[in-house]
This record gives sequence, C-alpha cells and structure tokens, in this order.
Amino acid sequence: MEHVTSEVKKASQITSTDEELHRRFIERFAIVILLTCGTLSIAVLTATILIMVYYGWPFLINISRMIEVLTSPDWFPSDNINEGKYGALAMIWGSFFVGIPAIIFSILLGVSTAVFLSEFVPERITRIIQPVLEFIAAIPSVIFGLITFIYISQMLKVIFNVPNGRGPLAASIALALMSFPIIVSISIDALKSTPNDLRVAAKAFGATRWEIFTNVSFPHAKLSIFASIVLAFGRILGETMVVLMVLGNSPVIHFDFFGSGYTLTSAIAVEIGDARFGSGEFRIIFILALILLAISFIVMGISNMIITQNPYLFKLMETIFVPVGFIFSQVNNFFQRFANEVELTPELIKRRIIIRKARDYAFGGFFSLLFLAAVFIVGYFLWLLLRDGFVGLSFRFIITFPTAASIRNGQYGVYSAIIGSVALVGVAALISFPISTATGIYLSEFAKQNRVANIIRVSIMNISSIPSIVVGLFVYGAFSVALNWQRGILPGGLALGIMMIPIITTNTIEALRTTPDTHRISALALGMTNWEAVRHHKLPYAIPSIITGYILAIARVIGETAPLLLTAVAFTFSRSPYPSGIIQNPIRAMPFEVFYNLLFTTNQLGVQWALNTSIVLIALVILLNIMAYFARKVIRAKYAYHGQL
Amino acid sequence: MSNQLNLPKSLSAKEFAEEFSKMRKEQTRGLEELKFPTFPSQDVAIEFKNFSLSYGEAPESLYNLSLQIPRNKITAIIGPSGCGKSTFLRSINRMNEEISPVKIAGELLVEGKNVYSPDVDVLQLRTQVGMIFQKPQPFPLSIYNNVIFGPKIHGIKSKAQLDEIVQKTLKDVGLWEEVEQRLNDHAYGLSGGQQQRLCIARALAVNPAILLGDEPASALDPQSTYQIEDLFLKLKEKYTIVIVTHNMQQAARISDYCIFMYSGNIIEYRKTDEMFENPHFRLTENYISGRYG
Ligand SMILES: Nc1ncnc2c1ncn2[C@@H]1O[C@H](COP(=O)(O)OP(=O)(O)OP(=O)(O)O)[C@@H](O)[C@H]1O
Ligand SMILES: [Mg+2]
Repeated sequence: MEHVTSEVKKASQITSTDEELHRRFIERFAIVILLTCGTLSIAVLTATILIMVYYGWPFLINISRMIEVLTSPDWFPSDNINEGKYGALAMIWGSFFVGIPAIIFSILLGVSTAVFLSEFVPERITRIIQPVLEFIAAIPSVIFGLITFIYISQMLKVIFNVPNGRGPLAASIALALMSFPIIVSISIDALKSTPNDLRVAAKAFGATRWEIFTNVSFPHAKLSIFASIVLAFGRILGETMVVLMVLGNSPVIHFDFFGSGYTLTSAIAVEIGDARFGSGEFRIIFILALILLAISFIVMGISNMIITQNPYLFKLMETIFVPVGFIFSQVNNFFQRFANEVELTPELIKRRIIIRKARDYAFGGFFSLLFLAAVFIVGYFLWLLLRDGFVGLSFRFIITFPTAASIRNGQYGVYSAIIGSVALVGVAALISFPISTATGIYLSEFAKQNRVANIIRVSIMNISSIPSIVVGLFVYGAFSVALNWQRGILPGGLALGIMMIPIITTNTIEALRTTPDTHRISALALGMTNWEAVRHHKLPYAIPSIITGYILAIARVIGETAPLLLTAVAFTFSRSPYPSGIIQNPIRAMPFEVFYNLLFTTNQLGVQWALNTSIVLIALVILLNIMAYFARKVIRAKYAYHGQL
Repeated sequence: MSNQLNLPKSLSAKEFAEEFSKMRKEQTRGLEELKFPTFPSQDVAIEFKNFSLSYGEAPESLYNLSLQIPRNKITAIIGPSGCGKSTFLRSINRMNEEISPVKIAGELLVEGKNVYSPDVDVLQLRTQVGMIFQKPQPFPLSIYNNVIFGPKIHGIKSKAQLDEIVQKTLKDVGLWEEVEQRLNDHAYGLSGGQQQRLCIARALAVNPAILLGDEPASALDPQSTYQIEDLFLKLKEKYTIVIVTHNMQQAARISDYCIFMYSGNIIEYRKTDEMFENPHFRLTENYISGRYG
C-alpha cells in the first residue's frame, strides 16, 4: 500500500490504477477458484442421484416393475431384468422394523439424558459428562456391530431364553446406543439456550425444576428437540454395519424380534457381491439406493423445516393433529368440568408443595435412571470389549502382516490394515481438504446470500444425510464399474473423501464465524480487496480451528466400513501389506478387518482378531479426538492472550 | 460534582455505615433526629430486623437494616446504581440465593414469619410474594397458559375456575379488552407494555400478599409506563407493593413511602412527599435533585 501513503489522492484521482486492476483480477480469480470448489459439492450430489437413476433406469420407466418393487415381498432377482421378482418390501419393512424400536429407545435415552443434564444437575457436572457422550458418538459403527454380535445378543439370549439373541431387537438396541448422543447434544444446546431471565422469573414464581422444564425450557426448545429426533431417525435408517452383522440378511417379513431380516442398507451391501454388471440383480440395487436416498432427503428436509418453522409443514401438522388436539382438549375439558372448584388457600398451597416436590424428584429420578442406564449399558459393553480385546494383544499384533500361511500358524496382525486405513484416509484428505476448505471459505466470506451459495449449502446438507453405503455405491457405479477402477485406495479414498466434505465445510464455516472479524474490516478500510483481507487478516486466525475440523473428520471416517466394502477392500490376503497401485489393488482396512474376521474367519482366531483390531481402532479414534481437543485448547489459549473469544 | 462526603469510593456497606454515623450531624440539614416510620403490628407486611446480606465471601451488600414496610401501600426504593436495591428486593423472596450463594445475618419477617428460618419453604414464600422484572418475562406459552401458570401448578384444574381467574386477573391489569379474542395466541405476540401487564396478571393469579417490582417500567415506552403506574395505584388496595425505580418522578408520583439507599445502607426512609419536599440529609437531597447518581 506504499503508493497511497505518500500523497493523498484527490477526488478525480479515485479511479483504478493498473496495479489496483491487477489486485482486483487476483481477487476475481481467487473467488472463481473457491466457487468452483463449492460447485463440486453440487456436482457430487447431482452425480450421486444421476448414477442411481442411470443404472436403475430400466426399472424406473417400468411402472409395473416399480409397483412390484415397492409393494411385493418376493425377492428373487435374476440376471435378466424381465425375469425374476424384485419386491423390496421386506427390506423396507426391515429398515422400519429395526428403525422404529431403535428411535423409541433412542428418544427415551436421548431426551432423558438431555433433560437431566440441562435441567436437573449443575452446569459443572454437565461439562464433565458431555465429553463422554461425544466419545460414544465417535465409536465406529462396526464396533457397535461387533458389540451387538457378541455381547448384546448374548445378553438377550440369556434374558429372553432364545437360541441366539441376534435379530431386530439386538440391532435396535445398538442403533439406539449409537444415535442417542445426537439427540442429546442438539437438545442440550437448545434447552440451555433458554434465556436465563426466564428461568429466574419462573423460580421467582416458586416453580420446581420439572415445572420450569415443562413450562419454560421445553416450549422454548421443542422444535430443536423434534428436529434432533428426526435427524437421529435418519441416521438409524442409513446405518449399515450393525444390521448387516446381526440380522441374518434374508428377505422376510414378520414380527419376530429375534428372527432374521434385511434392510435397504444391508441388502445393498450384500447383493452387490454377486451381481453381474448390467443384470437385473445389479440394477435393482440402485433402485434400493434411490429409495434410501429419498428417505434420507425427506428426513433431512423435515428436520430442516421444523427448525426453520416452515409454515407449510406446520399447516400440514395442524391438519393432521387438529382432530387429535381437538379430541384431546375435549377430553381434557370434560374432566376439568368435573374438577372441583378449590380455594387457593395457604393450606392448599402447602399441601400441593409436597406433591409438587415429590413429582419433581420423581421425574428427576426417572430421567437420571434412564441417563444412568444409557451410560451404564454403553460402559458395560465397552468394558467387556476391553476385557476381551486386550487378550493376546501385543506390539507384535500391530506389526504382523497376516498371510494365508501365517494364519495357519496362528499368527495374525493388523499391520496391513493400518497401512490400508492410513492410505485410504490420506487419499480422502487429499481430495476433500482443499475442496471443502475452499467451499467453507467461499460460503462464509464471499457469498453471503446468493442463489448459487444457497444451492451449495443445501447440497452439502444433503450430502451429509446420504447413507454411507449409498456413497460407496455411487463411487462403485461411477468409478469402480464404469471406469473399471475396481477396488483400491483411490475409489475407497474418494468415497471417504465425499463423506468428509460436509464435516469439513461446516466446520470451516463455523471456524470463520467464530473468528473475530475486526482485522478483516480494518484491512478493507485500508483499501485491501476482500480476498486480501480474508487471506491475510482472517484466515490465519481460523487455521487452528480448521485443522481441528480436519482431525475430527479423519476420526469420523477412519472407522467407516460400509462404503469400503464396495470400493476398497480385498476379501483375500494380498501378497504385500503395501498396495502396488491406487486402483485395481484391493487392500485391507482396520474397520473391515473387524467385520470380516468376526463373520468370515470361522475359528476362534477370527473373533480374537476382530476384538484385538477393535481395540487398536478405538485407541486410534480416541487419540485423534484427544489431538483435536488439544488443538482446540491451543486456540483458546491463543485467543485468550489477545483477550478475544 | 462530588457527593460532599469525601468518602473513599470503595467502602463496604459496613464501613460506610461507620463513616456515615460519624458525619451524621454535619450531613443533616438542621432538622430534628430522623426516625424511620413505624406501624401497628397488623399493618406491617415486611419487617427487616438487623438484616445483613453478603454474596459469597464478599463484604456485606446490605448492612444491618431495620425497618418496617406497611401493608397496602406502595413503597419505592431509590438510590444510585449498585447501592443494593435489587439485593434488598430479592432478599424478600429469597431470590438472591438463586443467583449466587449468600450469607445472612438478622431476620427478615414477611407477614410476621422469618423467611430465613429453616422451616420456611421457598416455594410457598414465592407464592406469597410475587415479583415483576425489569424486562417483561412471559413464558413461551399462550397468553391463557401464562396466566394460569401459577394456579395450575397449585392444583387448580376446574376449567370454569381457570377461565374465571384468567378473566379476572386480566381485567385487573386492564388487558382483558385487548386480548379477549386471542387468549390462545402466543404471548410473544404482545407489545412490551402488554407483556409486562401480562406478567403482572400472572403474578396476581396466585393471590400473593406482596408484589415486588425491580424497575418494572424502565424498559417500556412512556405510554405503557403510565399504564403500569396507574395499575400499581389501583392494585395497592389489595396488595403490598415494593418497587425499585431510577425515575424520581415515578417514585414521587406513585409511592406512599420512599427508601433512599446508599452503599448497602438505608439513609432515609419516610413518607414520599415529605422526603421529596424536605430531604433530611444532604446525600438524599443531592440524589433526588439529580446532582449525582
Ligand atoms: N450475584 C452477585 N454476586 C456478587 N455480588 C453481587 C451480586 N449481585 C449484586 N452484587 C453486588 O451487590 C451490590 C448491590 O447490587 P444490586 O444489584 O443490588 O444493586 P442495585 O442497586 O440494584 O443496582 P442497579 O441500580 O444498577 O440495578 C453491588 O455492589 C454488586 O456488586
Ligand atoms: Mg438492580
């Protein structure tokens, strides 16, 4: 800026110089690049839908076939699309037969925990417990699958005296344990955001904690609580590994909580295995994925409409609930008519206080019990896992590269799986870090409210709702099959990278939002372009937070299994732990090692191998979360020094 | 302009009391000894007896207060910011302890009963003593449900009776005509002044004996302020009212008695018109004439 400091410009001189034109050009160029990265998200979402439509097309144009898919329970897919039966009702049934009990358990545990932590205990205790819940939420689904396969089913077997405890009930319990932290974290935030003045006003009224909850904080937070429940339901319906491992995977419809079953997600994972490219069996899988996609988008849309108080949704709910509400209020009025008129005397108030306090403790006790049950159940199963998982675990396990020959000698290990996971995550990071960070910067700094930005935002939200198995199927259809990449770290990393996009983008936006804007504004006032101001006076301060987001995103996808089944992993032993290429070179990965050995390595060796691998995987996830925690701490310290944040 | 006391600013309530007692003579404007008003025992609604309060480990915020507040009158509390007005008010319904841990000495009697004695139930106390805040605080419920909040938690279930309570209290606060047609609308749809009157109705619905107001009109426009003042004048027939205000005209307009607080002490407590016409201490005179504060 030296050229302006020496002499003040006169009004007639306030026109662009070549140098300024150049800087403007640089800014344009930067924005175009950021925007291009942003539009990639739109492309990913569109391509996902298009791939499903493309392969499923022969079904989509055949109305009678589509009706059969949605209404018939007969599932005999065939090579030729004109032959065979393609009824997917059993899978749809299975998804909901597992999903509905799961969401009910999840609501019980999640809402109780949230209410207990935000209304009944001091802030201090909440702050200790929240990281525990975050940890539960970070446990990879394949580990929940293993816990269900071994421990939950064992417990149910004993309790209900059934031959083996596997089946829809076991899966529901596991899915509830996986999803309730979502409800807790969103609901706590919403309940805690109730203005403190309102709580004080209610206390000045002599209201108990329960009364404050029902009259003040619940009405304040209810929309977010409902939205969190809807989101958790979406997560449950999109989950693959648990159902794949404990449902037995056969397309039947029944009410048996210990019978076998099939869901949309597990059907995709299983059926793709022996489907010939282009066959009817191959195409119907993409139709299943389309159904799943539709469900996920609807769920996402509903939760979004709840949060934004969409008038159409509320109209609709009203028309649905008006009769219910009417009946309810009539019944209520009916009984109220018989209620005696009572004088509000000090005696009455005194008597009521005993009842009110009893009710307060009763509800507090109820919520705390459910909360303790949730933590205890998860804790108990994790303890079992640790107890069994450390058996035979040594450093040797980590550095052993298992081969068919070594297995026969009882030597197994996780070396190749670690190499595979690191390679996959590395590819995913290379692909998604730059794109998502650029998208986040664009959305937060350069595109406050324009149409393209809104489409990008919606796309990212929807990508986050796509079940991971569908992400895998997209990469499989678009690259592994169409480009003949087959399985390898490139397609596998691509799938994981897609899953990272929403995590990193939202985190980057959040990081920039919480970064002080004052330096950027001052820089603008000095005549810098917005690009220069952001680049030099905002981004540097946000980088530690952005990096925290990277670490968390890695922790989230390193345990992902479902997409890898279609895109990356080898079901046999390879000759070297190091992949010799990035495509057509299937690898092993840690979560896959858990899944595969537990189910397909038939002797006791397999179970132990899976258990040992789980410990290593959990340790890695914990390590990543601790790193993220300290990264965040460093930021706090840094800003505390400047008196900000 | 200085407060003519030449006291160091950072005195605790206790230190201030000691300093002030030394210069009591020179502070008086040449009148006979000032006595706080006393009332026959059946007319006393609230009584402080050597009452002190401190937050946590800090020095006293209220020091050794002794006074009687009369029934069915409006008593105003005035004084500079931070002198302890809100603390004074909140100690009557024990809301201080909801904000932070407090230490108490002496007694505070409401209707003859020490509210700090161990057998007192704060839930019951707060039913007897209603409170209105500076910013209107309607709950996120309908207008109707806001009013019946108190009666309902006390177990009144009869629809007819609840309807009657709603109608009666809303009429008492002069809101009935304005909201009769939309009782089931959300309370947040009301204007600030209407919300504040709704909060008063909500407090009245449980038949309290005492109403406390912490600057209840200071967040409102002049028209609404005027309505609220009018309302208090009407309500004092049935309730004992204690309000904190920063507005001298308001104190003069509506209160019967006036308490002037300074640094956790009560400097002067008299009939309002006497105090405004002829303040006893220089300190009071300076404050009410707006020379500092
Ligand atoms: N929660 C608290 N913890 C510790 N000290 C407090 C607390 N609330 C008030 N105080 C202290 O008690 C004293 C009296 O405060 P109070 O809020 O009662 O004053 P006030 O007269 O109402 O002031 P204002 O006119 O500004 O509302 C002040 O010195 C204040 O710092
Ligand atoms: Mg105050």
